[in-house]
Amino acid sequence: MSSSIPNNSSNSGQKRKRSSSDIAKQAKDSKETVDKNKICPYLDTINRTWLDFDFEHSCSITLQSGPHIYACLVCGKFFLGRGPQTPAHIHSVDENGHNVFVHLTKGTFHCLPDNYEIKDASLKDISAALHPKFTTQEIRQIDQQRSLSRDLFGKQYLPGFVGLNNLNKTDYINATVQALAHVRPLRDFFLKFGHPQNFDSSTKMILNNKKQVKIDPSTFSPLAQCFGDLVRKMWSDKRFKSNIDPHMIIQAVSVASKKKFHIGKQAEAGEFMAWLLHHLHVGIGGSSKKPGSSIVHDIFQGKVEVTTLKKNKKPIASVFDQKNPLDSIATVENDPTLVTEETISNTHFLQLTLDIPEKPLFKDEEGGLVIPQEPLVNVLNKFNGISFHDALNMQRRYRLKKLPNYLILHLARFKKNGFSMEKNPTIVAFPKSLDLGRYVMESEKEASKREKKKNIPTVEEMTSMSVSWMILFLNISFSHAQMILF
Amino acid sequence: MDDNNQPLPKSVLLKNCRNFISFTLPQLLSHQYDLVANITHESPAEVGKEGKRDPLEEGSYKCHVQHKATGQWYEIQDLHVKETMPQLIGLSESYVLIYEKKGLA
Repeated sequence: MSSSIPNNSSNSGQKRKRSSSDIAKQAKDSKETVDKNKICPYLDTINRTWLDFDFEHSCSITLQSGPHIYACLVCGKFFLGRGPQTPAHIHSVDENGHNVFVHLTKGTFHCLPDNYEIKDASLKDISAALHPKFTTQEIRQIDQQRSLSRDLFGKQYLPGFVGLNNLNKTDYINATVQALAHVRPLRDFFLKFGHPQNFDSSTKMILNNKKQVKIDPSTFSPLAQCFGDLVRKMWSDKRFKSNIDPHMIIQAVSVASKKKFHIGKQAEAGEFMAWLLHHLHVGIGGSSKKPGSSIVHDIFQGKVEVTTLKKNKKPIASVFDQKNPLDSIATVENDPTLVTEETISNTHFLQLTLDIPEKPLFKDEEGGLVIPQEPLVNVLNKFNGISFHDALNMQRRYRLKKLPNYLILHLARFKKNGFSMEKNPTIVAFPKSLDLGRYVMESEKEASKREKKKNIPTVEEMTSMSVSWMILFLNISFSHAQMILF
Repeated sequence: MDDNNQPLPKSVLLKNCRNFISFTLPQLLSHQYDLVANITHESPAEVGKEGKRDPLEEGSYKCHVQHKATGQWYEIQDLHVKETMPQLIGLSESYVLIYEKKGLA
């Protein structure tokens, strides 16, 4: 009975192409197929507890991965399909009662071997577990969400705070992804620009810097797509299980990094963070040369001015040209053949690397090392724009020009010493809220703005006002409160 | 003290105040940051002492994130998700910190 349905529908499709005469019959046909689609006799065979869409989407028989992988909704296995002679088709014939399949990329449901599409509202939960979708409304309210969700096994979980499986020393990937999935604009971006199959072509988005960028999820790199998938799964409240296997993203990371970051090998999370941000930026259509060309740069990119002092050997000719040798001695104290060369460059950064002071050499009475503590403010002094720091035969001074909306601080704890890795265990005490006002230099733009508006007092001027001045100020403020407020 | 003897004209003073509120104050507040995520790396106590084993291989990463609606902090280590106190986060062996500019929402 049911095997005749696909024939009917395909015939009508062909007819539609050939002639437009019997539209009425076609309409009747298609209506019939829709009606028949609704009553698939196998829907009650679906075994939701066996379903797990986190694994890599590849055929369990041929090991191929690709766009045509189907999951058997009865046993949960993945097969290449769905035409005759494909593993999915063979599976549906071989196994008794394994007839309902879902297309893993498109999310459409099919009945095999009869080969017709099933459209049924009761399958919505499977679609939601396969590709979680978020409406603009849901995204806006996601941070107000307090209620716990329940998975298929009755376990409660808080969307956004789900565990990620450790696949063998991949905890650094898990921790980095967890941290990035809680950066609001980045998360909202990936929640919004969902799975390419469910998304109508390219959309435009205006970044904070007024730049307009085109966004087309189907052109995202595999890494960016996997990252988006993972973020959506993490924030979904319709999960079948309350933890996630990050197989897909780890595969994508391994491929994109040419096995630099790979299962079974620990790596530095700070280094991985920088790598991942860059590849996400490029993967969603950002340019590697133009700063600020994707949302990743929009969120995390800041600007630092680096002044480098380098001692160079003076060209011999210029030594002889010097008319007054005393001058050169005054500039370079130790060696008259050296000149100090100063270069200033502006660099964009996605994260600031902070150096931690060396751990003490001496042990305490019990023979253990003293673990020193250092406040974050001291560590941040690298960027105060005053002091110079030693680098390989040069000195550098850092001055923050522009801070991003989201600032990533990377404490450089690990150091290669010969063949072994050393870790600096210093505890850096950091505050919940941080004021970086004194590290940021006023840019020329703002300074000129201040020049134009002559009456803008700085904080120093404001605080240096005497008490009576303050009283006067308050009096006037009160009497003109309306003027100030409106 | 000089200001007291020679008070500025009211209009100038008023302008000063308005400019301070509308221009200098927001600029001052624009560099305030709040913590959103913290990645820590902890290695077992004996690894550091011996100096023989690789601290990177032996250690493990954790991530601290905050639930915005309740303000509760969570500590996530792979599959383990548990509530934690903010006081403990400040003392952890932090490795990567992500700060959010105040007033973005």
